[in-house]
Amino acid sequence: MWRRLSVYPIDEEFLEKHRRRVTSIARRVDECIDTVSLYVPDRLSIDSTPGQFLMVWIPGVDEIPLSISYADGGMVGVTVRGIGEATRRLCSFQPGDRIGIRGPLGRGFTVRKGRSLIVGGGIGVAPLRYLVYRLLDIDAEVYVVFGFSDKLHTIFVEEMERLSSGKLIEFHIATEDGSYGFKGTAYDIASSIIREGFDMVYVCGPEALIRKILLLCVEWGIPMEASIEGYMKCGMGICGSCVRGVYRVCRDGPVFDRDKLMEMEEIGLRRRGASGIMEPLI
Amino acid sequence: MGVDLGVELAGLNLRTPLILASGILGLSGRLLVEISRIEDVGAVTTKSIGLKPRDGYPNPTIAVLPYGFINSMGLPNPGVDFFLKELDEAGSFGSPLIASFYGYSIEEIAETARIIASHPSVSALELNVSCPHVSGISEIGVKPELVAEAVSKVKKEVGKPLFVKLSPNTHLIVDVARAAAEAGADGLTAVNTVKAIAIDAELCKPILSGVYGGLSGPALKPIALRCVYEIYEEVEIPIIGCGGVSSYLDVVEFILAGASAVALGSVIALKGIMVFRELARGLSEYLERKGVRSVEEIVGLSHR
Ligand SMILES: Cc1cc2nc3c(=O)[nH]c(=O)nc-3n(C[C@H](O)[C@H](O)[C@H](O)COP(=O)(O)OP(=O)(O)OC[C@H]3O[C@@H](n4cnc5c(N)ncnc54)[C@H](O)[C@@H]3O)c2cc1C
Ligand SMILES: Cc1cc2nc3c(=O)[nH]c(=O)nc-3n(C[C@H](O)[C@H](O)[C@H](O)COP(=O)(O)O)c2cc1C
Ligand code: FES
Repeated sequence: MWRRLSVYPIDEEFLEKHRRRVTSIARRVDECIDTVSLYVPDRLSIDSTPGQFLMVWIPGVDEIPLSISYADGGMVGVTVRGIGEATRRLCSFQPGDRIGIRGPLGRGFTVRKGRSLIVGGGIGVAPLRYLVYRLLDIDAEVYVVFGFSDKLHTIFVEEMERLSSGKLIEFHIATEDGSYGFKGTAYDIASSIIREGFDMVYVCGPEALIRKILLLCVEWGIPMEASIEGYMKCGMGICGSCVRGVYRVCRDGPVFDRDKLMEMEEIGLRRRGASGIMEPLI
Repeated sequence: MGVDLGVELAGLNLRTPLILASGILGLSGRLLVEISRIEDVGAVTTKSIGLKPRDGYPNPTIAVLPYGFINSMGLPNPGVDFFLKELDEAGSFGSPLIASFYGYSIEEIAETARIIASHPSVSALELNVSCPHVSGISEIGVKPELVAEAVSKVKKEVGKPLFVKLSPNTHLIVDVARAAAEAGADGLTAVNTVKAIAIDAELCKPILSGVYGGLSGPALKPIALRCVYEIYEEVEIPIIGCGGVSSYLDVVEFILAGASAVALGSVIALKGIMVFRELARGLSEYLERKGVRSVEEIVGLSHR
């Protein structure tokens, strides 16, 4: 019925992506004390690209953007850190609870063969986990550096360690307080191995990290892509809420290349909040 | 090279009759400048700006239907003070900037108008009294006497051209239009969205957090077209047609109904910002095919 109605005038693919699909959570995995992965069956996400996101509707609470952290065999996963009302509520959800999703939305990472360095900080590792799998699928040489505040907040570590005994070339982990792995930040490790030469650097995490890696890649002349945040409302590129520089994060991003990130000027420094007022990030 | 699409609209000179509608990407000064410099863009309109910042409603704020969108953004905007600073840093516009604004009372409307009009980048104002999902706004827009009062107050304070954006959610639209014109408005924008709601059948609940929203896109077009047609019969000042334009034929129909220019909104989500190019080309070819030398020649032609 839906299909018949949609032949004209709203593009069918667009409509399919943005119609909220209400589904029950199939699986929940606790990743650390404040972070949970939730999986729902979803046909549309099969063709998603790492870096793309879903708008996740928590009925009666909010609808928020979350990166796809896993997609395979008809299941899509998101990994959410409880930091406010919507994310905490989502972290309390159990199998059988219902959420609505639309997506996959936006432009993801360029999945390309070659020597790739993946740098993630905190919850920013969510889209990078999906990226690691897709890069390994095409036999890219993947080096991974993850950084967290402390051992209690590390996520996907066992998974990456398991992968690094197989196809993944190297996995490095840092914690700021040294309670696990190297004592320091993901930047510290990344900046020391970047001289080994890479074809592409992928980043997601706090914008201070993204900014530092961005400047490093400009200095070394290495192509780089980062997934950034903007305050999402429509998620379809018309309301203007998520705009950074002259780009819409929901539609032109959330993944941007080095040149666009430099052009935005504001990365790591400031971002618009819900009203559109620029707020400092530091 | 086709027909020249330039139009004169309430004293503004537009390269083409195609305008970016209010609330569509109009929050960032830099992005507005970028859009205003696209060759086929006639003018750009800002998001509606109020005296104080507003966060708008929590998400979900938009629902997509097979025939249009229902939005309940709730007028999120950074407020005049921040917005003017944003314009300071935005650079120079490539086509006229229409600043949309609102207020909860006649006094607030006049004060906001005065502040916003003082910015050198602002070429004209558009008074939004028609947002269907924010209480205190839409109530003004359905009362001819309140609209008249607001318009004359603003015109006393501001020399720049003033458009009034009309609500389709009243049987009095022509009365409101006439009241605005008699009070000194320089033009009318017809129309804002139609009050609507969306319900999720699975959860048995309204989808939008604000419950009520405004319907835009193709479903709105025949209603908007009727509004323009009715107003053109009764009121002399120029009209910006708005609602559901998605092809050059829609543009042509609005102009034939009486619009001097046309604003684009929802179509940008579907076709991207380069839709201006597609529509300008189509319009130019249409005029050429009809042997017409300017857009102005066919404004309101369907009434004759
Ligand atoms: C493209 C993208 C991908 C993301 N991926 C993930 C992810 O995989 N895992 C994860 O845990 N988080 C992710 N986030 C961040 C997540 O969306 C926010 O943490 C969440 O919206 C906060 O909501 P809250 O009610 O819990 O917190 P609040 O207390 O409401 O806000 C906390 C912070 O989140 C921001 N925020 C609130 N609402 C939004 C919104 N609609 N859009 C953007 N930012 C918002 C606020 O500005 C504030 O900085 C992503 C954000 C974006 C833009
Ligand atoms: C997301 C969104 C936000 C809008 N915000 C405003 C606004 O702030 N002020 C206003 O006058 N109209 C606003 N509108 C209404 C549009 O300017 C336009 O009148 C309406 O969408 C009909 O045109 P369309 O069918 O081409 O979208 C908004 C519309 C949408 C879809
Ligand atoms: S969220 Fe509306 S333009 Fe990106």
